[in-house]
Amino acid sequence: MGNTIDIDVGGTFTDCFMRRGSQVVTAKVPTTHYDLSVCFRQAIETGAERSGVDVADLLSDTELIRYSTTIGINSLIERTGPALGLITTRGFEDTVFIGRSRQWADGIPIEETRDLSRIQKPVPLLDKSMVVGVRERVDCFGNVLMPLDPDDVREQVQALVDRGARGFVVSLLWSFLNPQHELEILDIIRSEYPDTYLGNVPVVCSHQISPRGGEYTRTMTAVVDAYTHQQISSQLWTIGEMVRDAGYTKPLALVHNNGGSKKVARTRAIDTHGAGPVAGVLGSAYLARQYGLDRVVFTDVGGTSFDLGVVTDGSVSSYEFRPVLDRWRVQGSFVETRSIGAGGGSIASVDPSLGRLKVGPASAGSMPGPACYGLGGERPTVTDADLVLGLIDPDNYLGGRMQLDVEAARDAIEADVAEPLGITVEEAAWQIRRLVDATMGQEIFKELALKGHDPRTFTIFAAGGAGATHAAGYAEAVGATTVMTFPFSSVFCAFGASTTDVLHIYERSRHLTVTQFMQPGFALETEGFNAIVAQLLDEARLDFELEGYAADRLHYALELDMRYKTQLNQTRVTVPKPFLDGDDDVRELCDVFNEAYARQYSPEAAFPQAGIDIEEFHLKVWVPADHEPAAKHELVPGDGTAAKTGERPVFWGPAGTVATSVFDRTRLVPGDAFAGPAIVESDDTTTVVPIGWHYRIDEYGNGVIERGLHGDARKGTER
Amino acid sequence: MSRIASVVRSDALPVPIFTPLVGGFAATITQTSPETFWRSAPAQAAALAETARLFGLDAITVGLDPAALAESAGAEVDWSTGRGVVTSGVPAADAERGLDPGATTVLDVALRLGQTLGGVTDVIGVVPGVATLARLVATESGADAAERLAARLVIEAARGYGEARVDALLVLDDAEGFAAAESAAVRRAERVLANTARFFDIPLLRSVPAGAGADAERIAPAQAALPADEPVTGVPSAVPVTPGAPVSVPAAWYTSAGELDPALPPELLHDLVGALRTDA
Repeated sequence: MGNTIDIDVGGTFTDCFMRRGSQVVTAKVPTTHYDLSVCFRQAIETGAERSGVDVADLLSDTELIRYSTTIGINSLIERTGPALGLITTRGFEDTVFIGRSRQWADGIPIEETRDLSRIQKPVPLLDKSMVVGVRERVDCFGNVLMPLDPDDVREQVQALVDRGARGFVVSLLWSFLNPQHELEILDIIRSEYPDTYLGNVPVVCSHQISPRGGEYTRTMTAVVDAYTHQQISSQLWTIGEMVRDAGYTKPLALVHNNGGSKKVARTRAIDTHGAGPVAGVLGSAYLARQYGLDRVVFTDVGGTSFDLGVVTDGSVSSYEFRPVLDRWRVQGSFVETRSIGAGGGSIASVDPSLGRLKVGPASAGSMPGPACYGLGGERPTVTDADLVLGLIDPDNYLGGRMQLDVEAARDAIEADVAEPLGITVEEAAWQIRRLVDATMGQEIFKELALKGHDPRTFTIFAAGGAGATHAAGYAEAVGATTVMTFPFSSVFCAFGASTTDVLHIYERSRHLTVTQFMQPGFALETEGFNAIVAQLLDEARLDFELEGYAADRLHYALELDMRYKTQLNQTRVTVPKPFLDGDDDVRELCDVFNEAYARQYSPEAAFPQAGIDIEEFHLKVWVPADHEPAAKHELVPGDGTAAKTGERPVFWGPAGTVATSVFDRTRLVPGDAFAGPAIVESDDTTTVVPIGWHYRIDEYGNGVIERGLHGDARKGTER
Repeated sequence: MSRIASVVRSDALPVPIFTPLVGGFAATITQTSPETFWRSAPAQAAALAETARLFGLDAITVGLDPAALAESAGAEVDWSTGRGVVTSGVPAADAERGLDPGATTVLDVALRLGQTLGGVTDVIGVVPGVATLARLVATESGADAAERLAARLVIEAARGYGEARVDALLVLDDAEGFAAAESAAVRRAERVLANTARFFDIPLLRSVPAGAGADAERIAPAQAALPADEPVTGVPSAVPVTPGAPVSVPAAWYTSAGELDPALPPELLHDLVGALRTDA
């Protein structure tokens, strides 16, 4: 792979990771929410400047630009999508309004779900008047019970157009088994409103977006896709034109929330939501394999949110199959990440009724940002606290490109926290820091413990602009003893994007019986099974051919959602062989399922005599990215003296104000090691080594923060 | 990139640009009453857009009268004379409220003009200088409180203009405001304005009243000057011209010598624009 550029848009900053041969260049610029193409351009310009090349020269010899964007989620949250018309089976028009049981709790924090007096279902993305039912019916086997009435469809479509529909979503019952009626409706709309006419409206069919069972989630997946499509598409056009004008001639690729990346032309809107943190998890998996670490937690402290993801045995181990986007439950195979409102821009305040300090979830974002940013913000934030404590150098933030106003930070903390609590500004800043670290640490602990892990055995990867600044703090709260920081920590998700394979997951809901209740032998018709896999494979080959990859470069893995006949819960298993050839293969499949189930629930819970069903097929297809192995360096024991730039007073809470050594990250070499308290500064992040912790540069040039004087970066196995 | 941004960067443009300060003149041209013009966002936006189109202006200014911003913050303003006269400052109870972007006329006008003129005519969002605005929003709480309030209003207005995607920000002081000593609050507000303009990727301009004799240091942190008489040396500076007077200095960027008189005969402005294009 030649030169690449990876850009990740976050809530506060936009990050850029460039590989030019063996050279790696990073850049970080404020996110310009008013027009994301502005920060995209600024990120490339800053990267070019740091590379010492012209933007035109940089882009003309770049092989690939990959991008992860928040614009889809933004349009959901801000409700800036188009007016959509939904066409569904008559009698089922209320499906999207009824939702699924506890829909009212989807996407809101747990403390809000307890406030029953205020809780409300979200305002729907479509008005009731924009949902119509057509006369048709297909049964659960895909047989047509009532054919579609084209005149009825035309009448309903016209009604939606008259009510202002600017796009259609078509989602009929059982269409994932038999899409015939959805395709007929698509044809009718296209003939009534052909592409050549100005009144042409886009149409999204649910079986094309998510050919899986579950009428509510399948419909919502199609609705969210259609709702966010226009904004994403419009922004990508702007960016595409901008980079083409500047000399870039190759396709633009987007990072997907399933852990891969593909060209814009082969990406659906629904694939892009939440892709930034997913890229961070993928990057963590890549580094975990490099180090041979089997337990890693990816943590990203940005300006607005704290994101985390779990990596075990060198790979992504958790997926969400019914994720929530804003307030809407959809379906897909999204790499699981957790996010809470805690970051450098989190606003600190004192609850007037309880007299208690609170940090977040409200954020100052990038505008006006923390008080110290000098953009007019008056509320104190975590970054203001770090600045007041002396942890951040106001003259060296973002490499000196942003001058921080210490007085503004002090004034804000004094007014909103110190005065109400009757403490000094420094003590208030310390408490703000401790509280946000504890909040993040608690989130990590909960996430790992609920997955059945001992959080103390995990290595924490620190990512995001404020990750290295806070990682030792929240590691302490978790009980973890090893934190890893990287030269590209502050732009980690952009780095992660650079490690992604070109990948897609092809899915189908198909009910197949493998074994019957209390019956010996196998009931599975392998021909039918293999036909489904072959169909998915054909789809994948065509898709990847259009992406520019021949079939011989493709790698495959088939996963199935399976369950015992008497149960609802499904377990996803990786199938040893994609095609089954006889009873031995089917037996192996059943063994794999029984083992996976026993591992997840307990060996005593496994009950193969109940009979086994297959419910869904997921074919993962990918073209592996080319990766240069990381260079290893000789360790030259040292204490970092050559990198020390001085000392500055830092308030360490109970330890008081301590003259703390400051080191220049770029001048530390593998083998350098020293004890905290210490600060390690680079252009786009500050690493804080608290009292009682130790810092060293390892053989790969990465920074390792460890509790106490002794530690091993290769730790990670169960104690 | 907008024409103003190009000229501030000293990029070569095919013809000189002319960015006059247009306020009540637009009301006269479109026969809109001053009160309606300054208080009604649709009327003001339509008048400014029409004026820009009629005369082929390269940029149009929004919010030239500082009384408009004061009124949005709660001051009482009399428009009957054609210019806003503040009859009562912002009540102390409203001092902490700040601006409601949805209810601030000048921001609404900027948004509308962006949609109407986008890409054809640059839109300049005008914020009063802190010292100038502080005199208008003065409350019974004293001069320091007025200055703090003015600083907040100016910053919020600048942010609002940025969100409305104007092409440039202009800090406009009257002679008294420009001459006033700069307090720490004023200097901080100006730094915030510069940071805000940088965030929104637009240039920050500074007006210079007649006889002020400003230099580059006085203009900073703004990037360019719109002077009422002599161009400012050391920074990109427009050359002021007067309708009816000959244009003597060839330049890439012209402005009006102060705000265009609402009673200015339109043919004089028309002739001036024609002369500036011919001189290219």
